[in-house]
Amino acid sequence: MLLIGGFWSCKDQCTETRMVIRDVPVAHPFSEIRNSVKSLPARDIKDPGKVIINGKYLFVTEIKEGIHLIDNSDPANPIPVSFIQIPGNGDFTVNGNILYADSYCDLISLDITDPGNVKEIGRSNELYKFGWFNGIWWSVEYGGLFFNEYKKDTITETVSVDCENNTVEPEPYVYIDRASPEALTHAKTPPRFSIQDKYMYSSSIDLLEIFNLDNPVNLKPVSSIVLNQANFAFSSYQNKLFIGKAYDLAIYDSSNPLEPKFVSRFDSVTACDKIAIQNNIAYIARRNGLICGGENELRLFDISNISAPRFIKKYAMDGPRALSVDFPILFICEGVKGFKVFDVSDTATIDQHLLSYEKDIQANDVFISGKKVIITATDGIYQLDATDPRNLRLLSKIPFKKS
Amino acid sequence: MKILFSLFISILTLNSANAQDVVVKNRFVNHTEFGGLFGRVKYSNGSQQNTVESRTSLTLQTFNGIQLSRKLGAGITIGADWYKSALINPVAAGIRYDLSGRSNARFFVIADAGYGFTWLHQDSDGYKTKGGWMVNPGIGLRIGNVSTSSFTLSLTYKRQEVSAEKPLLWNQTERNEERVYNRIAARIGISF
Repeated sequence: MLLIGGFWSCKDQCTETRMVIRDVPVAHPFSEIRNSVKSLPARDIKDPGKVIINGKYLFVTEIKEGIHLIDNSDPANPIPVSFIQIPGNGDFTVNGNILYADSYCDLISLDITDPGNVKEIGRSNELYKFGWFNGIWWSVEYGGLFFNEYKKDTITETVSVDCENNTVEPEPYVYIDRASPEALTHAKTPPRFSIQDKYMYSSSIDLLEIFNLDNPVNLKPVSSIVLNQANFAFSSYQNKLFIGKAYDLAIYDSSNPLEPKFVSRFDSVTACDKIAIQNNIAYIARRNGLICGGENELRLFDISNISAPRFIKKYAMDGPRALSVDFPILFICEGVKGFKVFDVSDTATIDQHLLSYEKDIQANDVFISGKKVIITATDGIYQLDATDPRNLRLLSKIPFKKS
Repeated sequence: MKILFSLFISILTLNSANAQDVVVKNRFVNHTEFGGLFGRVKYSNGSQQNTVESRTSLTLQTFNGIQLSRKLGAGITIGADWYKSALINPVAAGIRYDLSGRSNARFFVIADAGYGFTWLHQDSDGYKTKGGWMVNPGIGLRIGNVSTSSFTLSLTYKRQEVSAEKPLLWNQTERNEERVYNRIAARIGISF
């Protein structure tokens, strides 16, 4: 018995203790981003993102920092009102007097009744698990917000070893494999919001959360569906949700707003493509030089049968960065090549119907509000009157501050 | 370990005191053995799951002392243990205590406690191995006439501590290993 017990229990116990200088991830406490949403005096625009016109106000995201509020009662003379400081803001949407915005991982709702004194009224903590700003990733990790920052630190590690001087490889530090900044040049920040009727859809890394807009104070999702992938495009149109992923565009039927149903996958779309949808036509702009590859072109698909989108035709472009449709007018930002306006009434001859071409506006993004067209260009925000699309009339230009 | 060593010394002292009551024959005694140290090791192999391996080492030792009483002998044990990455020379205070009478096959208790040195050990480059405390209690069987030399079989538990400084790898500023060899020692030998 002694022998058996001895053989069973006699184990060499060898532990190796190492002091190792390691790159230790730095996690910022969530408190750094909370309690700092407030109205500040108006300031210059440096790095604009999304633009929304709501009533007489123009809202312009300052990427990662907040939202500029501009009195646009007279589009020929927009007057900056205030700057809503929202740390880590990339996308937002407005419903009545409530503005919904992302703040890194949090979703917040703001009462904008008094634009000079905006108040935070609701917050959903850590709804979004990761995102990026101009190619720099952030994520909810290590118990806080992680911005891919590391510091050198001496770590003590203790491991059991084999007692025989054989070198056991230290546990390798796991660096998360993320897309490089170059891979994200097509999108400054992930799109988060889309509103349909009284519901707001907000996408995170793996879920599409659905919020009831009747309750902006208690920001709890009333429903959610699984996405499984980060999305690079997000829009809704006529009870359909279009979610652009890395290699395809997923189409959901949201006739029942609380339970969107996956309908089809549109695999002719990549993460780099820009998508506009109207009148059952999907306008998809692709630019070369991005990580997704491809040519500078505009492709049209008939999506009247969303289960089986049908390719119509493609047209060569100069390098489209964004597009928007106000049927039958299509606006395309061609970056340094300018800004183009097409009549798309006849999908077979779009290239023959270039209505207007503003070569001097280096257009990067375009937003439509009625007959007003807002362009974020390289040097400023242009407001154009598109009542006559053949003769765009410049209303005003808000110049950017050179950083 | 120091507590065990102290306990051992206490037992030795106690037995020596009791031995004063009987006829003491201060004759020289020797007990020389060799055998194997058997055990296992369980370790984490990098990022993989734990690995368990068997370990066997050669052991050689000789006890030399004085027969304090009819049953008790006390002395010094020195030896050599060839662990795979350390050659240890234990030097210990030891006793051999007979449990049974004068038959030709007699059980006896073995207890050694001391320190294992690395006098004969040679380190690989970058390594610096140091010895440590050792205990070796167990039981043996002495076969042979009381008045002559005997053949012995023994089974003991051996605990040997060793420490080692190891060469630094990647960004390491310090790298040490604390070893505890926990083995069953099965030996054969002779005693006179």
